[in-house]
Amino acid sequence: MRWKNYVLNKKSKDCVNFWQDYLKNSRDLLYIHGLGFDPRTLNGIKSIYGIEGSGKRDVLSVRYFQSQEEKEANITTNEVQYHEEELEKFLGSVNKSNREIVPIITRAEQKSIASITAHGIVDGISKISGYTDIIVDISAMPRGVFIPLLHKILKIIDGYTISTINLHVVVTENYILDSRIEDEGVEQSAEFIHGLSIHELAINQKFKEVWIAILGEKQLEQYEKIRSSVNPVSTCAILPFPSKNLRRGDELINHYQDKLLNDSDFDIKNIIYADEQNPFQVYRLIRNTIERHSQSLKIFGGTKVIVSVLSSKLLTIGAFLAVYETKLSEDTRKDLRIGIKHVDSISHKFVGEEDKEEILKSNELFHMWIAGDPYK
Amino acid sequence: MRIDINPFFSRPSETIGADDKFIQLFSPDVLDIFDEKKPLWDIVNIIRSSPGGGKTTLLRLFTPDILLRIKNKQKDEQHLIEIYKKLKMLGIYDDKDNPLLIATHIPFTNEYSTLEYLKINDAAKSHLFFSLLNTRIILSVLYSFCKIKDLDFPEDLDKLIINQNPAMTGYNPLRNINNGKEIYDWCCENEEKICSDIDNITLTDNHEVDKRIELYALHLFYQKNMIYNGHPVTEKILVMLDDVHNLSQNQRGSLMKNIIDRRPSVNVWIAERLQALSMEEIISEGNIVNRDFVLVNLEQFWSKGNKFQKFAGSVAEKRLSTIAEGESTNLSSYLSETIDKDYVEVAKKHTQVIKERLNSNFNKKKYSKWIETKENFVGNEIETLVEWKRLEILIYRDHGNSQQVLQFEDFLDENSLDHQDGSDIENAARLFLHEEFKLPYYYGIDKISRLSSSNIEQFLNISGKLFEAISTNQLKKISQSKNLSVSITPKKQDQLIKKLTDEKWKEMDIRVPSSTQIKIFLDNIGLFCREHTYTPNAWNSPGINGIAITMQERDVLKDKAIKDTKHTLHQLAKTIAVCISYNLLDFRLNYKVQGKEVMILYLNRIYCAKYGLPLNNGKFKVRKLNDFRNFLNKGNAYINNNTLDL
Repeated sequence: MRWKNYVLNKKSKDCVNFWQDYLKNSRDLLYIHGLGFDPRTLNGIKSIYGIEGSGKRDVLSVRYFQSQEEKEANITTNEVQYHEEELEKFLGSVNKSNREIVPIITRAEQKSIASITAHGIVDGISKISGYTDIIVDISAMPRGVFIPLLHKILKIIDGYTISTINLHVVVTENYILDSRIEDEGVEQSAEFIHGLSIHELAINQKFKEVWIAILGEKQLEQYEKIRSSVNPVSTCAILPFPSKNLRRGDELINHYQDKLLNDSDFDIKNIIYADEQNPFQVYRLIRNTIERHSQSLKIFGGTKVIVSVLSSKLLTIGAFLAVYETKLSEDTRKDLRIGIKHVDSISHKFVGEEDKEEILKSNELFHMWIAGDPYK
Repeated sequence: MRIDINPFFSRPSETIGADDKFIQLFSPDVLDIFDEKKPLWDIVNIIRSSPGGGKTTLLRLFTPDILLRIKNKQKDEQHLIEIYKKLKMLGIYDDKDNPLLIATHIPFTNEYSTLEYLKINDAAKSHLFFSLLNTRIILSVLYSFCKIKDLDFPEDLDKLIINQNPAMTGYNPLRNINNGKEIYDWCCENEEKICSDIDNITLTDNHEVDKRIELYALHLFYQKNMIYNGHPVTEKILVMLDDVHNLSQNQRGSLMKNIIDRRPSVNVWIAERLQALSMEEIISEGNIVNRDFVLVNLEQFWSKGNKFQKFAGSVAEKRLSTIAEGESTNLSSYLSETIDKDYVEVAKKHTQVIKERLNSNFNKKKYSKWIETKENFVGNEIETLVEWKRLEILIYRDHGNSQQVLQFEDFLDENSLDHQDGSDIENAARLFLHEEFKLPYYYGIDKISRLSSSNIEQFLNISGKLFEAISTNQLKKISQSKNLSVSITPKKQDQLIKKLTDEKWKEMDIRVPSSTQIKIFLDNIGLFCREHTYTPNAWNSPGINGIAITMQERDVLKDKAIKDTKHTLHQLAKTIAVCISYNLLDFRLNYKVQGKEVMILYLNRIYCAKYGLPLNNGKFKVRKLNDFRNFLNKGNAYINNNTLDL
């Protein structure tokens, strides 16, 4: 397991301490982040680029547009405009900082294309080879964007041998804020993330499906859409424990009970508990689950493992790492196929502008070091 | 009865034999969509519905595994006999029960539409799309062929020879191969190559797939060209393309053109959601008359007569049979239609309230005979209450008429009462009592089926919620007393329906794009219908739940407004299209009334409960487009002029 030993900083204080220490040496940084409505948009960059040090401090801001027309008209919401101005003001005080804005179109013809267009954010090694460290801040990025983005960067870094490029992921978690963000429309069907799909081939027709779903709040509609698109012999639900709210797991079972407990492919024994603040534990648990099922189902010819994340971004990273690593082994393991299936949200809104400042006090920065020096 | 499983929420699973469970739950009524008057074979069939309409379930019935299971089990299992008979009538089995159909089900997933947005040139996108589709069709037909012929797949494909007719199949990569197994091997290799190209995150324009942009696979399997054991294959070949809505507009257009223009040598069925249609097509839907294909809209098929009620009843019965363990499998037996006792107690008071109103508002002499008839009515308290409400409606009606024609206050006899009273009035009376005295209205199997708006997924959802209460009663019966009834009362049913309606309304925020705008539009329609339903004389009895525009005005939406983003009605056209594609509004086209043709937009019945509207089809009001546009604005003042009562 590539991430059996890992680097994870859980709280804002620990993260800042880590970066203060890390940036004592000269580092060329590229900070990739989403420029969206989310009030956490600038929390990470201000914390890390606010630390003095030598080397490049470049920024790549991803701007989202719902259509080609919206992009051409450069339609900007008030929140995005505010974050844009704040960022420009902040970067004015940062030395050696260049900024690039990459626009991506997230929808076309009433469907999400985010996971396809997200591969264009970093189009090749030339974009990142000039840096020692790439920091991807996923706080204001939807899953349909950051999973393919991390997939692309990790694949490029893994194939690059001339120098070491470190890949860090940062995310600002805030459970109060999460509860105030509401989806405004979801896609009509569940789809695989581009690049992390399972294709229905003649040669894997008889493989049995296993569905691993990490459950979270307010995702029943998405869960139902994924559920109707899979045909598993076994469904495994991952619930948060330990968690700040010790009853969170039970509450989630209540929330999903109609669609979970009535399916014969689900067994109570298939519930997996994972620390809600440790993506690497989720990674390990998913890897073990995959291996166990793949051994059991060998007799049927093979296994297709479908992973769906309906929970926090932090845990999504764990799921992504497990899928990424397993996917790499597909060339040698012909009896195992894996992919991430999800349902994109069309747009979101933040409800709670009036007590925003109070809510933002609960921000906690997390840092995961995914590739580079520690893993040599 | 088992109470650990809700059969309306459970999904057939592979672990317990998906095919067997599928057959067990399949209701043969759906096969009635294949109208005897419409050709089924040698023409393209296009099946459309909203999500959850039952398209995939229908297509799956024709796949080899299911057909063979039905063949092998129909003599032993009672529930298969009807399916078998209907399939035989469609020419699916011969006299010896052998399937006469080699059908293959090909679902379109996003791997096809992904091609449209890759950074490669348009020609490369088309090559990859058609190459993958041709390959999938070939592999799939070969698999079905082996299943039907009871051959080992793929080893026995050696026994199949496919001789191409170049005039039909043209120049294609398989032109020099005629052995079934070799064709299979080539396709497997090609399929893997294309899929890895699609997933290749650094794909360029240079790829090695064939450059055909035609569906040669649909001509490859011409029966006479397929030689098995030295003889041409006699079974019909059917290619069922499912979820075509998942394709991009370009791909779908190109696919449809390829299929319809070139008249394939095999049978082709296409299933798609209304969402697949462009905005223009959605508004134009239903108007297409074509000799090259047959169009079937599932929801519209079910909405005629009581077909859906029958179908839903049969689906519920099959679901309940999986958990009944000897108890009733009839859902209606668990949905009591006897009004709860606590309403009986207050019904007398309510009757008195109505009597007093009649006394104080109207000329007692004129209506004395009518009132006397009701005084002599023999029935229970609830029935009596309904009778008095009916009378109040009729008196209001008569009173209004008399004033309009300046009639003298004549004496009205019993016959004139019978003449005016009808089932619509009774329905309206019950609805009004629900509104005024909270008497349950949304209960009973008939209303539950109607609430489903001819959508089977919606029916399962509603039934699932009701079943939770049924299983709670079952638990009480087991733990407390055997004498307790398992069925749920009308009051409980009504409450659960209202709760579900509220949940569905809230869910719209998540489910539907631009939900704020859509909700305002629906809200205004709902309130408008409500205003025209709750008139004291119930002139539109039992009430209205739809609005309409003339077909000429609908042409303005379809030909101008939807295409021009600056058109004053563009937003309206877009909103209607979204409502139709998300099954929030149900439409009827070319409905003839009073010498005019109209397009009716009915509210999805689940939302009728939100506004206290009746669930029947029929009553609607025709409005002008500009009035429709006002429905997009919050706090709309409903326009009462220019209304044509229909």
